[in-house]
Amino acid sequence: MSALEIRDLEVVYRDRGRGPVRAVAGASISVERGQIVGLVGESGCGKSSLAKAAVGLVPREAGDVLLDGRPLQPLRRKARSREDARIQMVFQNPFASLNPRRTVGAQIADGLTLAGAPSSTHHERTTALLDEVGIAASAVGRYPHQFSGGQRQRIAIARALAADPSVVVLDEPLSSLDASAQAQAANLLVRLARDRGLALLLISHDLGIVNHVADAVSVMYLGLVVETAPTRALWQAPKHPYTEALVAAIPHADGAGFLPEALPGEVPDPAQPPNGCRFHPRCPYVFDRCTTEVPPLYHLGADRTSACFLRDPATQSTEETAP
Amino acid sequence: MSALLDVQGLTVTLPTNSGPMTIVDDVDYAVEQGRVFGVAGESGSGKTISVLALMQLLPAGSSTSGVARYGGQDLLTLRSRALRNVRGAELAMVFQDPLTSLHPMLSIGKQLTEHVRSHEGASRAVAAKRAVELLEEVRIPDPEHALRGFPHQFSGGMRQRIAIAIALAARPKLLIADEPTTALDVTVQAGILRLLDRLRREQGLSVILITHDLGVMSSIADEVAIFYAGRIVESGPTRELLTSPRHPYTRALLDALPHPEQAGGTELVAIPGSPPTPRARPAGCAFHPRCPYAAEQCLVEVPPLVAVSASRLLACHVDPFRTG
Amino acid sequence: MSVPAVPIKVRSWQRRGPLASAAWRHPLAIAGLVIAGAWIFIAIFAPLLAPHNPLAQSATTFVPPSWGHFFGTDELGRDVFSRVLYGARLSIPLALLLVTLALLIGGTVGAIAGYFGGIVDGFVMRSADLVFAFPAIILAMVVTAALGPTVRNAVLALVIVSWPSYARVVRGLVLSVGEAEYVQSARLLGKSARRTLIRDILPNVFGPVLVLATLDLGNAVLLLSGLSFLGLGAQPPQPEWGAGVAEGTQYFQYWWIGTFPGLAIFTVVLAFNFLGDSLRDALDPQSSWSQGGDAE
Repeated sequence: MSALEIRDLEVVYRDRGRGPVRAVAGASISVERGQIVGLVGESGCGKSSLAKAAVGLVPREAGDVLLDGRPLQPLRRKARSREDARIQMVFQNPFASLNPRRTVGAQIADGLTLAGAPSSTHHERTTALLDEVGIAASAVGRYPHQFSGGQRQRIAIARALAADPSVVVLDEPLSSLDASAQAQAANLLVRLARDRGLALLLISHDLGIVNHVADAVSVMYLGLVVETAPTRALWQAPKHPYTEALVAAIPHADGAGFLPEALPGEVPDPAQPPNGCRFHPRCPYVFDRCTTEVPPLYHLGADRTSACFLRDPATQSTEETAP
Repeated sequence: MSALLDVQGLTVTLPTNSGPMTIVDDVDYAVEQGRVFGVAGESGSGKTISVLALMQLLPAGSSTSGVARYGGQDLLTLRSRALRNVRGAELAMVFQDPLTSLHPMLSIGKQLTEHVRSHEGASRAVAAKRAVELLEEVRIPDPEHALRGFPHQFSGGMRQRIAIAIALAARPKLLIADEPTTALDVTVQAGILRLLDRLRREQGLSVILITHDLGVMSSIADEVAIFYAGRIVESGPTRELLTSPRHPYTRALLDALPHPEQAGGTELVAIPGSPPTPRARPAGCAFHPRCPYAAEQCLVEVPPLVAVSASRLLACHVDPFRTG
Repeated sequence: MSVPAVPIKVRSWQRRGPLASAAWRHPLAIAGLVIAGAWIFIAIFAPLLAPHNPLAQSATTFVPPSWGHFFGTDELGRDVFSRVLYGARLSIPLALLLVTLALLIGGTVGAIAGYFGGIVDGFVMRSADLVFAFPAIILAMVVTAALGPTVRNAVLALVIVSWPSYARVVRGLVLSVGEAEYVQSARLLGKSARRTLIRDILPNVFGPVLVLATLDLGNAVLLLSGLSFLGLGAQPPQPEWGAGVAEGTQYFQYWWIGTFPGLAIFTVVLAFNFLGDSLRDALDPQSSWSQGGDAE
């Protein structure tokens, strides 16, 4: 039983002017204890919406979110239950995710209260958590604006940990940080998954960091998961044309003058996705079937999936498959 | 062969509430014709301010010293008419966020033609034709139609292309691009990098490219200068610099990059600490608190930027990676 | 991609300093504080400071400003200087009362509208729109005239006229602060929506509302004086400033009768405006002086 299982999740935004937009059109991801799963994709792919729906901040149109096998209740007016609070979230913007008017200690204590720790132990536990994320104990009485972006992000992680979660969803936690802070925060995440057995869902558009830090990666395009694989396998041998394009677009800092490949066309409007395979207008391998049928997520063994007709087992021996 | 742009001893001080703050400290570099010159560094390193100084786009109360020789003039001391002639027609700039660098209320066509007409005095018809050419140059699909569009109707990548087109409108020789792809998706970034590379090859455009991303540098920059705490710590041809870095900071930056070969659940090699803010720069070599090779001299004496080979400059007392 | 929190560019240099102490270096703040402080002092100690009884009539009418009467005397021989000093005892406490009531009523209503949304929100906002449709002074005049021209009714009328601005501002802030990620985190950490409203949202709403209220104090003094000027607020012989200006318009050749109460209004309003501006600046930069990205 996975720590977090997302099944066929759909998220629809209804905007008065434009009609319903399926930001997430049926995505499935699972994360085990002690595992870091990376969710990557470019703008408009729906990964942030998926993250928010997984945690319950945004209502689900369809699909399930299971926490240790138990369905998660979406967030309503009432206080969240202890069990449902076992999934926590860290947001992208370190300047907005901490309340500017409350001390760091008070905000972390919110999570401790939820976890049922008696208030007499709060100070001790808070300093222990801050120490775990690499922040000095003196931070307890200070205010967020006294810290840098990287430090605030680590405080936000400490706050999430205070609730003793089993799953933490991180929505682009590293994008606003500069290189040094990014590396430090990424390493913290690896340590937390390993030492605390946390299940981490790390959403990012930075394929490089995700590949280094995550055990498995899911790739999203226009509201759907198009490929999932263990990290090394995904990097070395992608099995979906979009993943291939992503990998080929990443610059290499080796001085060899490699010019990254660009992907022709633009991401379509999620309100009007293409027929058939959503990637087909930009796919170099497109054939007839792609324009009319939606490819299912094929299981390719060894924890790999791919939503591409090129991987259809029924046609493997006869089709010319991409490497 | 003299360089297109020769910067020497550039120092920039900005006014702050607690007095003037030195952001760029005695920087030298040269940009050759038709080459892409990369300026790399993290936040607080002064990389952006150093090029804003060239365009005289610094806030009121700033002061600069040093010289920036371009076409027989010193860019830092140009005034009004001469400055106006240089800006746009000789030097042009593209910024990180195309949404804020394009005028939201004017059509693309208007923004393009306005630039052409003010610099070349062209008629409306000629300017319109040139606008279409420029959009074709940057590969905007259906350029005639695009002329009537407004910035918010285009995606981030498209807007950046339009910003580049506007920058090129008056045929500048040198394009300064400040983090042009940082806010873009990786596939879109690839498109912009290819565009810049093509402009360099086909039109002989010279580019100063500022970015913190060494991968981007490696793709299109011919030379790179690494900025740290307001000074250049190392510079040289990209290939050489990235394959055999001599400065401990450059080496640490490269080591800190994620390596796909070590994929899956491993830690990155982080540089301890963080880059100093301009107000709190250490004495001597600014990198010494974070440098594993720091010696006593590094704490007190600022290392001078010296040539360590025909094409490499290095500012380091210890030079731990010296070969031979 | 969502809003990028990238390091701020050159713009940040134009902001004021990050600490509250930097704001006090600003001359306008000091001027505002000094003037407002002086008037509050006067309001409290007027009986000790005024050389004459403000209501005492005498035969020495229309005396120009002189040593015996710093601001001269009016048509009934009353000392204008004393009347101006005593006028502060009316204008300033009333302005404070007015703003406080409007803030409490409007703020509460606005917070409820923002929190519940839906029909409640619609009802509150349409009521506010209804009040906004009338020019403030006209509406206040109507209410005071209907209820009877006394100071108490003037304050009541002005509260009716002023609550919608606070309701609108507080509602907007509750909604926008409610979207903030730290509020969402609080919800995920098990706080009910109501607790979040009280503990997380409202404290962050307080700052901007305080600025609005301080700026509004000047406006309140003007409105109160305006009503008295029209004969709808303080009644004679009360030494209210607006009434004093009204008197002055009847005796233009005796310029001191109307000018000094008018100057009093002017300086008080100016002082409160300076204070409000400085308060806004002092509260603002704390959130945006970003570290590690400000000098590029």
